[in-house]
Amino acid sequence: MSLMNVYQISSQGMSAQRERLEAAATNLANANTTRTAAGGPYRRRDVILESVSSASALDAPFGTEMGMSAREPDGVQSRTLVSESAEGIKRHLPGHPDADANGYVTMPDVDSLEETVNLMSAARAFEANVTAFNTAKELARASLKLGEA
Amino acid sequence: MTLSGPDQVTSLLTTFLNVQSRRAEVVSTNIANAETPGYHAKELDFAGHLRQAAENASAPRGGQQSAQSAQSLTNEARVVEQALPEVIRLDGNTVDMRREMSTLSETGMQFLAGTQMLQSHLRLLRSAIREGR
Repeated sequence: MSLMNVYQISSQGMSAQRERLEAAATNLANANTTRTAAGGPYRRRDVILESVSSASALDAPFGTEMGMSAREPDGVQSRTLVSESAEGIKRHLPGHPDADANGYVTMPDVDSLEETVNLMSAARAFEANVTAFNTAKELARASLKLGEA
Repeated sequence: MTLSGPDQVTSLLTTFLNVQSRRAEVVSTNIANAETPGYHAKELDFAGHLRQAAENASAPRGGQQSAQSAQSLTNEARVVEQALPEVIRLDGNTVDMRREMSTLSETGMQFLAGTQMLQSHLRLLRSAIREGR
């Protein structure tokens, strides 16, 4: 059932975009965080997206039994990576409690303009996935109505 | 219109709906991967599909067989990568959102048209079964 695959693919797309939104929101919220549990300033979160085959182990034999051609729809998978570089932006704030001997504070490597753009792009991409999902839903509803007079 | 055995209109329309839902699947894959670096947009290979159908149609055969060949075509329709655009984004992604959105709504309309046709065909059958009442 191709339409069922659309649901799966689009919801994967939606969760991937939601993860991007979360990462951007976290980064913006922590743009000035100088203390973390791990020590040092906050480290930027980046989300990487990867196109994956969403065919599960169950699908393959089931599909063959049902006479469907073996094909693997591509979904998308996301992962949040924490920036490994401890290099932040040095700012001269001598009065700051976290300032070093020279009066410099290491601020997180977060570009708020970049994060805002990520936020917008993730929101648009999420909407596109919702549209695809809704179209599939409408089509499925039309198919269900076939039995009616 | 015969009622013995599987009837041709129903199976052709079913094939049509299957093709459209596969298209919707491919489009939704492209949309889900709209931000995936290095992802190349995909589409159903319609040109190859049509060529094969034309070759099959030129050979003389009965209606039943043509319906069957249409069925086999659906299963064989391959998913291929779209032709690369002239300008590729820096992340190597080739999904054109406007194109995907228009394909999505086109597919939706085609599918709805297919269900309408199938519905009126079923209505005809039902009317015949009930002797026009």
